[in-house]
Amino acid sequence: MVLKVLPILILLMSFSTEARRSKKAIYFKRAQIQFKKKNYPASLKYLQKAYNFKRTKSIPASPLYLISVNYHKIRKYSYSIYFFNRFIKNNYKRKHIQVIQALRKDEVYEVDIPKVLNSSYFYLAQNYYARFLRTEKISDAKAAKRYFKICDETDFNSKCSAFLDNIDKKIEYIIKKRKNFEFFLYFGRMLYQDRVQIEENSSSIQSDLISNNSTICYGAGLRYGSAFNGYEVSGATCSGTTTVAGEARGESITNNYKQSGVPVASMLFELGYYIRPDNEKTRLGLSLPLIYRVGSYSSPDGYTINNESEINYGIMGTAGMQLPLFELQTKLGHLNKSNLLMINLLYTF
Amino acid sequence: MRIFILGLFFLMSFKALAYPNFIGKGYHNCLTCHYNPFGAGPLNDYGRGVAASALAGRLFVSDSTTDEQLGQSSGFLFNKQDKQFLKPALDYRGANIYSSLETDESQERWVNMQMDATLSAVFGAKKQFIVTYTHSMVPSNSLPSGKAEYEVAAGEDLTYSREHYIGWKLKPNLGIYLGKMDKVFGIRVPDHTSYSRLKTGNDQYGSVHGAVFHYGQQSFDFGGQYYIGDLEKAQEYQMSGFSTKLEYSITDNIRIGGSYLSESSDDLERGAMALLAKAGVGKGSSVMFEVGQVSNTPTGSDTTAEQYLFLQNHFYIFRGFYFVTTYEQSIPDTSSTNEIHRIAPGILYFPVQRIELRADLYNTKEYTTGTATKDSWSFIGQIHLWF
Repeated sequence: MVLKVLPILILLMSFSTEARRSKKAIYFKRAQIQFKKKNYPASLKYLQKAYNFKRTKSIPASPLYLISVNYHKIRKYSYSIYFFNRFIKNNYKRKHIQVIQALRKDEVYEVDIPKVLNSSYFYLAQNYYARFLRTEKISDAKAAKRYFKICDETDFNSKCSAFLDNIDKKIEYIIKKRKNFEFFLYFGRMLYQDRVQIEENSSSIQSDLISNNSTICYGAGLRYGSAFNGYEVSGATCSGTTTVAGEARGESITNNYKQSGVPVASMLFELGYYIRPDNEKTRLGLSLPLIYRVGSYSSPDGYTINNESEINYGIMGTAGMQLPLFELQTKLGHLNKSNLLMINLLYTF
Repeated sequence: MRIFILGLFFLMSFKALAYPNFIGKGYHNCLTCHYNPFGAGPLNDYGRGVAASALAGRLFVSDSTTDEQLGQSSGFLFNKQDKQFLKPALDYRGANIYSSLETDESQERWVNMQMDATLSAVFGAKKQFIVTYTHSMVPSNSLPSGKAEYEVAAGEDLTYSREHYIGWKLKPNLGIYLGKMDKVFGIRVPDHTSYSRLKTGNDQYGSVHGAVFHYGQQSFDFGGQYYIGDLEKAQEYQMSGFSTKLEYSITDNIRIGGSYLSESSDDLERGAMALLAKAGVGKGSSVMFEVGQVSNTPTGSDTTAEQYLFLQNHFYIFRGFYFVTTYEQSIPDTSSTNEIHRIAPGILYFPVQRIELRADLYNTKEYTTGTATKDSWSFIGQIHLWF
């Protein structure tokens, strides 16, 4: 009995397998037709009906290739990369290893690469390139470069050379676009003019004196920016002397009052934004400075100096030029009644 | 301070387009673009061509017009240069000056700084000879006090020759020039009011009659000048002497050098020396630095020594457009601690060939022992046209 049933079962199973095969062939045919009609999602649907996409080992070469190209066409580049890699692994593993080894030695042109494999490389290059544009991952750019190089060296497609040039520029641009922290130290000379208030004790009349400060500054700062723009915060401590005198107007003591060599110290804080217009070598910026100044002024008899210490704030323009070792920086600022000039040398770590 | 403001009024003038900051574009030598091997004065054909095709912007120039076409039409009145034996050129520069901005009585004035007509000719089998003559006119309204050196009274126009000489290039890199030229000294920046030019007697009216020798290679320029003064000036203003300059390129974009000058008149002996450096940065930016010492000995008086520092940065923003910062320091007498500091942020724009626009804001700080002077502010907007 068993012997009678078994052949029937085998027969039925072979019929069923044959039916499945024929069904797969039909779906694959339909997928090809949809692909030709540029209806890639429909093409993928037919392929999904025919094959289990999770078991790529069991998918024959042609459908697997078609799946990969379809995903490329609908811009699902990661899927396309995955299926192309499976396609190569399943069908051209040895050849692929040979190509990659030759590529390292710059001898790809010596390898006889099947057309379909070369075509896969071209698609892979485009997929990685497209993904790189989207994600800006350098690893994708490097992979794209690898496959474009194969394509270029085997003369598979004339566009590959242009892609290679373009990709290098884009890598450079993306690296430049990335923001990084930068620490810098600086020293320089700061000249600023502010006002010191003198008050006549008997009348409480207040007058402004001009104070011309000349100081040496030591500072440090932090930048967060790219090769194109960024933000900067810095602080400096300055010390020097000032000459104080009244403007030649009015009838008060301010006409004749003078002090020279008055010790002054100040602290300067800045928060700013900058752009780098010429190839990372220059820097133009605007900042909000805050300066605290204290001076050892002596009050003449009958008078009091009111603002021995003072805080000023305002706006400052910065222009920096990167020289071989240092950055040369010029600053001009306007702070309340003060204006400020700085010439600095910066060292960036 | 008044002297400085007057200086701005009368002396502020530039000439031609090929400036030393174009080291930022790779141009180390003046002779590349000028007939005069030390710069200033009329541009040669190449200089006009490169100014039109690479340095000036393309505002209002259609995309279909190539840079090469712009270069070809850079001759006088848009002609092709190579068709002209005689090379005429016209220059005009005017400035609107706002001075004493720190006071309630700021002043505004338009000054016609430069009105030049130039005729040059290059001839000889190897084009080894050059003759050029520049006739200049400064209208009376731009010289309210006249010009004593030229015996021009207030209300009179000043007409004089800014430059004229005959040059003979014995070899492509060796030449001698006879006539009236600027002194061979320092970086020939177009800012005639800079301390580096004023202190060394090299301002707008500083050109002198004499002989210039030049020897240059790709990596260096060396030259000297013997002069007998500007013969167009009154006798007492004529300074005779010699000056020399060496520039050497230590890298592709850095040039260093030095200058020395010694001159005298009946009333004054002057000696000057300077160290200078120019560097190209990025794609078109540049730094120029000059530091110098000048000693003046009036007849019967002690010598006074003064020092100056000139630092100018050009930040290339886009073709034809620069952000400029100029920082200058002057110590009028090294035996005292008095100092003058001047900073001038500004812009320089060549929107299209034959047009130059410049705007500078000047902040001047005087640090004087025993007194404190209020900072002064002024603004100068300039237009320069050349044909």
